[in-house]
Amino acid sequence: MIRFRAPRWRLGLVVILLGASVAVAPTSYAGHGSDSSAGDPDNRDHYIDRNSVTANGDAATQWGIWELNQTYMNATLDGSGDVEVYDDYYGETDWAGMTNCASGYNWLNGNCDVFRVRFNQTTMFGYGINYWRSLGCHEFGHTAGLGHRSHSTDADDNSCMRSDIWPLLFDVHDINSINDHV
Amino acid sequence: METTTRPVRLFLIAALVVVTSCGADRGDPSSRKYAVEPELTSQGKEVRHYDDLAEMAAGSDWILRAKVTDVRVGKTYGDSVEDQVITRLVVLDPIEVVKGVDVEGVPDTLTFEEEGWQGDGRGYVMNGVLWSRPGEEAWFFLRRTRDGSYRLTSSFGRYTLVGKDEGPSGLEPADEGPWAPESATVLSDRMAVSEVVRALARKAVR
Repeated sequence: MIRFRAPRWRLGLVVILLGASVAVAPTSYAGHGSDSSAGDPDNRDHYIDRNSVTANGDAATQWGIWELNQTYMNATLDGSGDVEVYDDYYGETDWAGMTNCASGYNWLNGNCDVFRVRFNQTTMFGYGINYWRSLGCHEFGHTAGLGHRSHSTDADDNSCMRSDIWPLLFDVHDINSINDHV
Repeated sequence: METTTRPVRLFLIAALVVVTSCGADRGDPSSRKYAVEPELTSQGKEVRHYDDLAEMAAGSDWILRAKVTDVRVGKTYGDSVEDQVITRLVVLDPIEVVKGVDVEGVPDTLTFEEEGWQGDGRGYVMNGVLWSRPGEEAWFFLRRTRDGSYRLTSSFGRYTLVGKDEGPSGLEPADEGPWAPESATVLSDRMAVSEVVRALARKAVR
């Protein structure tokens, strides 16, 4: 009897410890589709809530929603609960926008219940409307599970998921990557 | 009886330890408890980009090899608990300054800001920059901000020589950013990296 019990509790302990190690893992290095550090959306519907955003933040949000709706995603401002959007003066950070999963993504399936998108007005000070739109496309791309692109994977320089340039749109690869994973 | 309940008891204790270790770091907003380990991963668009180390060196106000001696709670940005971000003040003990000394002299300590906590106290890692930890030794590429504080020049602005996460910071640094042109042999050799950084700094300050 003891011979049977020992392996069971050990197996249970291993499962718990493995799960915990994944849950508190410091970071994952993002590639692209279904590989955002912020996690994947838990379904195709994005109910988006703007939290006292400025006109620029609103333009970025509207543009991001428009771009998401070029995919199988269904993004809308009619409701809330999937993406919370903020813009504020977050200091002289390197980042113009930040996306994460508000309470951490589910370590079992990698999905995020509520994303949090922040646009940094400090960093974006003086940038024109199309930069904000590009930023909106980029950050909302993260909420659809996209990671960053680079010139090596975007040779024609037309993906808003690039960090070093400011394209306005998802390219075909971005759209296909989202559609493949939602 | 003793032999059959002990494993169960051990299992429950282990589960309790795991559960509490996952939750204990989360502070509630009112008491402002800050996680001792990052729990969340964040990603976003950066505004500074360097294709090689020479560019990053040129864009840095300070380049130094230093030991992390302390990390403190820094500034709070944002209005509500939901959108706030709180920086970590990383205190450095400089060992070797290769850029910046001509202007300001070698300080006893130098402090810079890194990400961070959310308003709810949860810790997060931004664009692959793992948290600096006391006892670590690294090369730091720092830029001065308008308010006089310092930040990493970019998410790739640290190379940890001694510590938990040795190597360059940032997302996929071997494939993208200023460290990518360096060979894998150099990147894995801290002595070689140090020589590269010193040579770059000599050019950058000319």
